[in-house]
Amino acid sequence: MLKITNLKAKVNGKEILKGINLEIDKGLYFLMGPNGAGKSTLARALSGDPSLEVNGEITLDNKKISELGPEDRFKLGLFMGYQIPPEIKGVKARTLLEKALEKHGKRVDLDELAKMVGLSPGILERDVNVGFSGGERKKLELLQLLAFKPRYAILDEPDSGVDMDTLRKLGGVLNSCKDACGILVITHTGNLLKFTEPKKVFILANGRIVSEGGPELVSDIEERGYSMVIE
Amino acid sequence: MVTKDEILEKLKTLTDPEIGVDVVNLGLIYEVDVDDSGNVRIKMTLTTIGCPYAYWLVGKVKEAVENIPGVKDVDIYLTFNPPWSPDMMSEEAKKKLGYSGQNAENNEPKSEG
Repeated sequence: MLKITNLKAKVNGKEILKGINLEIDKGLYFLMGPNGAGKSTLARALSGDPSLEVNGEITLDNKKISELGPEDRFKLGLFMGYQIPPEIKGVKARTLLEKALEKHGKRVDLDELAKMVGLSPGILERDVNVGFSGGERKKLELLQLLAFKPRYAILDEPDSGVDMDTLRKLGGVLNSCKDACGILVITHTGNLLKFTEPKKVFILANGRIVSEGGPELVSDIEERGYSMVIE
Repeated sequence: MVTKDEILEKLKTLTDPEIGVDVVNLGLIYEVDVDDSGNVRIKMTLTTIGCPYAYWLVGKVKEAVENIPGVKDVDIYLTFNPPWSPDMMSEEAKKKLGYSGQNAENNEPKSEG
């Protein structure tokens, strides 16, 4: 279980997260909320970003990770997906992946995984994300998710600005991973519901979890907006 | 006009979460070039190879530099040649970590077995 207890976080002295309590086990979870609610701050706090002032506790399978940096959290099985994965020139995608896999003692067929996520052959020979479309960058993230098979994954808006094909692939990957992995997807829309179903939806507003529910909560929000759950 | 020094000063506020020292004093920033239009090119390395750490740190470096007024485009080049070694740290960083320059892993627990 990935357990977040009374998590508070300040960014530049301003309190953004005001006491988050959240638990995820194996399965797919959505985190939604209005802009400025603190969704990205929560993702940063979970990644171990040292520029945040964080209080409260985060445990991964009963192990406290609040003091650990991103690499140590990754070793313990926490994968972070980025909203806009950056371009890294000078290193081929294949090289970066192979070195990371080697370091973590894993061996996978990268070309097979590339095919599964819908990346064209040869893309792995290019510098990481350089000239990749938004969809291709997201697919490379999905490839990493499949390659590293983490215990938990936090995906920050993996469905933002992607075409239907990428959305379908994303849904497929989430479906194939969710039995063995606890995945928290930060999302703005219900588009993913066409291809997959979360077991629980959390609504974050003003730095707090204000609502929890099943997938039907997404359509409620789509129809009536966030005001129905926020005081 | 943005200067190389301004960029380095900004990067000194970026702490490497694995080691607790900023990326400049750690010796990760190999080259910084900025042209008259404010386009920046940075060549850097990592203490450890591989994602997700690569994404994370490169993303942070890019973000930090992009936020400097006057900066236009930021290009980050990653290289492992030469590979980073603790000797590349500044004297300040070495002192802070108690690094004696003998390739000792000072962050490891001292007990054996």
